[in-house]
Amino acid sequence: MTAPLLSVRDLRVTFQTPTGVVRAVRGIDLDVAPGEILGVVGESGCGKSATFRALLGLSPASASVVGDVRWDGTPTDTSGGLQPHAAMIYQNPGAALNPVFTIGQQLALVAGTDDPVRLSELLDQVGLPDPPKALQAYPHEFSGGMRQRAVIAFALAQKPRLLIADEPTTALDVTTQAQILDLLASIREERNLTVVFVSHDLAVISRIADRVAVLYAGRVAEIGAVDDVLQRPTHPYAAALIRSTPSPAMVGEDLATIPGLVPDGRAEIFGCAFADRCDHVIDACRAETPPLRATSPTHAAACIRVEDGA
Amino acid sequence: MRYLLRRLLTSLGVVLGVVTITFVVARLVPSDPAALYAGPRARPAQVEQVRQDLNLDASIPAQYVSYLGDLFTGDLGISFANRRPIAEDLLNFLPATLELALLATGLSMAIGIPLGVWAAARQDRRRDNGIRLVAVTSVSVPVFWSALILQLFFANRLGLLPLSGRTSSDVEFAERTGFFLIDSVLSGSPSNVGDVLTHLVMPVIVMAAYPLGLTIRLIRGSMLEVLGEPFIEAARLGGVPERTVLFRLALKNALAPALTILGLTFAYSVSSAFLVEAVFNWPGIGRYLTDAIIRVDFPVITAATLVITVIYVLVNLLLDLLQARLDPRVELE
Ligand SMILES: Nc1ncnc2c1ncn2[C@@H]1O[C@H](COP(=O)(O)OP(=O)(O)OP(=O)(O)O)[C@@H](O)[C@H]1O
Ligand SMILES: [Mg+2]
Repeated sequence: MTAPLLSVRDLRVTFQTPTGVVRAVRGIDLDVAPGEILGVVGESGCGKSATFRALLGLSPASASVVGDVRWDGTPTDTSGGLQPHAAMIYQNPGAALNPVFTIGQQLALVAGTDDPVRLSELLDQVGLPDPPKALQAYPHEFSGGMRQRAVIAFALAQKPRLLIADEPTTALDVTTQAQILDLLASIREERNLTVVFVSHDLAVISRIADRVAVLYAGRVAEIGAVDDVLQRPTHPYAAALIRSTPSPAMVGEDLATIPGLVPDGRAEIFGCAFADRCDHVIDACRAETPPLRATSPTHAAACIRVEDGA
Repeated sequence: MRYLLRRLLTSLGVVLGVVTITFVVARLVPSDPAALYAGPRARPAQVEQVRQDLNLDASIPAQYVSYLGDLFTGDLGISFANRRPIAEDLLNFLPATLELALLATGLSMAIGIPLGVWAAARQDRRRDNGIRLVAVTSVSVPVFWSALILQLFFANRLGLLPLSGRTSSDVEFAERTGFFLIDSVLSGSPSNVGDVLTHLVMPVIVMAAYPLGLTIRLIRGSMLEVLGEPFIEAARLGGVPERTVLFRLALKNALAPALTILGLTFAYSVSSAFLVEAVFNWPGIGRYLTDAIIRVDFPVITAATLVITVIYVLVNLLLDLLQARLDPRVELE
C-alpha cells in the first residue's frame, strides 16, 4: 500500500455518561490510502460513527479521545485534526440541511462565494437538475435523493481531500441509493478524492469500496481488500457477519444469525471481545487482546486462531 | 391574499364574540345604568329622561343591534362619568400606552435576543449562569418596586430624570399623532425631544423588565434546541464563522417558536400597563380603564375591552404573517 493519507493508531474514545463510562472505541488501528474508498462495517453500536466523529472533533467536550493520528504522514490532533481536510456526508440529509434557508444561501456560506455561477456549478456537479432554480429552493421542496445531492455539494464546496460518509444511503430508497453510490464513485474518480464509507450494508460496501474494515466492539476485527474480506473472511466475526447477510443467491435458505449479544460499551473486556460468541474460542482467546495481524499483503485480522485455519 | 382575507374574517368573528359577551355582561350586572348616568341626586323623572336619551328603555336585542351599528361608525358610546365620547378619550389615552408598550417590547427584544443567544452558546458556563440570573431577576421583580427604586435613585437622589408624567409642564407642542416621541420630533425642537425621552426612560425600563426576562429564557431555550441540530454541526464543519452560525443560521430557526409568545407579551403589556401608568402618572389606557372600573363606568369598560381585544387579534395576525416569513415550511393555507 502506498503511504497512507490518514493513519490512526490505537484510537480510544470514551464517553462519560450519568450511568457510567462508555468505551465506544477501544483501540482502533486504521490506514486510509489516498484515492481509495474504505468501507467501514459493523453492528450497530460498534463505534463506527464515534471513531470518525472523534477524528473530526465532534465528540462532546466530556468525551476522552486519545490515540495517534497522522495526516499525510504528519502527526495531528487526535480530536479534530481531520477537520481542515475532511468533509462529512450525513445519514439523514433532511437533518443536515437548515430548513429556513435556501439551498443557495447555505451553499454560499460553506463555499465562501455568493457567485450564482459558481454555486450553480457545484449543484451541477452533483447532478441536481436546473441548478439556478435549485439554489432558490428550500430543503423541504427537495426529495430525499436531491437533498443528499445537496449535502454532497456542500461537502465538495469545502474542497476536502477526504470525504467521510456516515451511512449516506441508509435513509434512501433502493433506486436513489444506487444513484448516490454512482455519484460518489464518479466524484471520487474525477477529483481523486479519498472516501470513508460507513455502512451496515455489505452489498453496498462490496459495490463501492476498494477495501473494507469490519469493526467489532470498538476495534477492527478484520481489514483488507473488499474481495479478500467478503469472499474469504478470516476473522470468525467477519465470517459470521457475512453469512448473516442476505444475498440474491441465497433465496430460500435460512439466514445465519450470530448467537449472543455485542458486549456493552460499559463492560470491561478481557481478551477477544468476540470470544463469548465464537465457535472457535480457546482459552488463549481470553488471555489477551488479539492484535491485528497481516495474513497477506492486503489482508489483516485480529484473531489469534487465523493461522490455525479456524 | 385569500389567506389574509380569511384570517381577517375569523378575526372579525373573534371581535364580534367579545363585543357580544361584554355587552351581555354589562346588561346582566344588576345596577341601573340610567341611574348611574343621571347621578346619585337625580330625581326619578330625570333618570327616566336619561333612560330614553340613552335608548336604555328599548328591548335588549334592539339595544344590541343599535350598539353594533354605533360601533361600525366608530362610536364607542358616552362615558357615564365624564359624559364625553369614549372614542375621543381613547384616542388621547391609547397612544400614550402604545408608545410605552412598543418601546418596552422593542427594548426587551433588542437586549433579550442577543443575551439569549449568548447564553445558549455558553450553556451552563459562567456567562450563561450570569445571563440566566438577569432573566430570572427581571421577570420576578414587581413593577411597583422597580419603579420606586428607579424613581428614588434617578429622580429624587440624582435628579437626572423627571419623576413622572409624559412631559414637563412648560413643554408644549402640537399633538398630531399622540405618540409624543413622533410629535416632539415633528415640532422640530431638540429640547422637546429630549424632554419626551427623559420622561420615557424609567417607565419604558420598568415595563421592559418582564418581557426582557421572558425573551432571554425563550430565545435561550429554543437556541439550545437548534444548536443541537445536525445542520448546525454541518455548518460549523463547513467552516462557517461561529458568529454567523449563531446569529444567522441558528437564530432564524430559534426565533419562529419564540416569537409567538413574545408578540403576545406586547399585547399583554398594553392590557397590564395600569400599574406602570399609575406609578409614573402616565395618562394611558390603563389608568383610563382603572378609573372607569372604580366608577362602574360600563360603556368605557366595554369599549376598552374591545380595543384591547382588537390589539390582541391584530398582534396575532401579524405574528402569523411573520412566522410564515421566517419559516418557509409554514403554509399560509
Ligand atoms: N455522545 C455520546 N455519549 C455517550 N455515549 C455515546 C455517545 N455517542 C455514542 N455513544 C455510544 O458509543 C457506542 C458507539 O456508538 P456509535 O454511534 O459509534 O455506533 P455506530 O457503530 O455508529 O452504530 P450505528 O450503526 O447504530 O450508527 C454506542 O454504545 C453509543 O451508545
Ligand atoms: Mg453510526
